[in-house]
Order: sequence, then C-alpha cells, then structure tokens
Amino acid sequence: MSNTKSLLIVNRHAPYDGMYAKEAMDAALIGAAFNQKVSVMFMDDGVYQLLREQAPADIRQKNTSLTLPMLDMYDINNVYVERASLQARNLTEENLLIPVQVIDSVQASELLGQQDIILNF
Amino acid sequence: MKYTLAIYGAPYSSQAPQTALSFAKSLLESGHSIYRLFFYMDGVHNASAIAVPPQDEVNIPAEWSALIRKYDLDAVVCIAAALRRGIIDKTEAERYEVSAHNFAEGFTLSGLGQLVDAGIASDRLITFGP
Repeated sequence: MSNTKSLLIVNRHAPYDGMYAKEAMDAALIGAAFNQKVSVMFMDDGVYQLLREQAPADIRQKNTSLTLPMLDMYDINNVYVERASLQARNLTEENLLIPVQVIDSVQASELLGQQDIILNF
Repeated sequence: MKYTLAIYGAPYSSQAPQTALSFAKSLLESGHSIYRLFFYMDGVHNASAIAVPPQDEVNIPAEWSALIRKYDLDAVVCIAAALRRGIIDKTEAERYEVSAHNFAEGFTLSGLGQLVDAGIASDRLITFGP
C-alpha cells in the first residue's frame, strides 16, 4: 500500500472492561506496521489504561499496561491524554506509566478533525 | 465512493449491526461501492451460521450472508476476536480439535490488518458500535 494516512486510535474504556485495551493496542501496532501515521488518544475511563502498578491477575486478566511501551518501540510518539478526563478522576501525569502529551478538549477536538481514519475503542 | 464498514456490535445485543446492514443496502442501492465489511469485537457474532431468532424477528446473520452473496462483498471477520468467542470455521475447528463449527457462508476469517488495509484503501471508514 503506497499511500500514507493518519490513523488515530481513541481509547475510552477502562482496562479489563472487555477486550478494548488489548484490541486498541493491536490496531495501533498494525497501523504502524503498515507505515501509517499513527496517534493514540486516551480519554474518559480510557485514562485508567495508563495507570502505573496495575495488578489484574486477581481477576484473571493479563496486565495490558505492560504492552504500552510497545508504542514507543513502534515509533508511535504521538500519545495524547485529555486533561479533563484526568482531572475528573483526580489523576495527574505522575500517575501514568508512559510519557504522554496532555491536551485540552479543544485540542482533542482538533486532533479528531485532522485524521483520515479514527478507530474508537 | 468506496466505503468500508467496521461492525463492532453483536446482533440482538446492539442496534449497530441492523444500522450497518441498512446503511450497507442504501450505499449499494445508491451506486456506491463497499471495499470491505469488517466484523470485530462482539460483531463477530454476525457471522454465526446457527443463529435462530423467532420467525417474526429479523435474522441479521442470514441477512448479511444474503447481502454478501448478492453483491459479492468482501466480508472479513477478525480471527482472534471470533475464535475467543466461539465463532469458528471448519478449518480452525479441525486445527484446534473442537467438535463443531458455525461460520456462515460468505464471510472470511482473517486478521486485524485487513481493517487497517481497508482504512487506507477506502474513501470512508465508518464504525458501527460498540
């Protein structure tokens, strides 16, 4: 496939609420493997996917946060978190496992508007 | 225009498949083309060959199969999402040595790369559900 498109993966579900976190990560990495311009945004309960020190073994789930560093390995450097979603959950960047760009809701809206493809999870 | 529809919802749990089905029919009747139907997450249940709703209700999986046959559509079901939910074809049933298979005619099991490929190749990618 010769042309390059911008692909935004939007994460809005808490981790371990179904397969969303895992499937979103799969889609992001495949987009990168297809040489597309991939960005990832976390908003609403999706910000919980980024928390440090997740311990889901007690509920018989795999720790999806362990795959977050894969984004950097696949050169996906545009990782965004919506500020209001963090604030509403009393979280700051200090609570997050990987470096992110915190954006406000106007910037989030602009980001959505700039994309060729948006996949919601 | 060339469209791809990504269907994430299961029939009878979500309105997404019915909306996608109606949208697909409208597209094709209006002269647009469908590059691919991609069934992901709970949407894989649309590819069940053995759904038997009551006679006075719509059989959504059967309607998909009919539409796929009529227009010779490319209908891909995410293999990882399907297998973990018990949607499986004969080949995979033999590979994993399970006693039955239930994959509807016209659909194909393949990987998530087919969704990304479809996004690149289509003018519009529209998601239905979750």
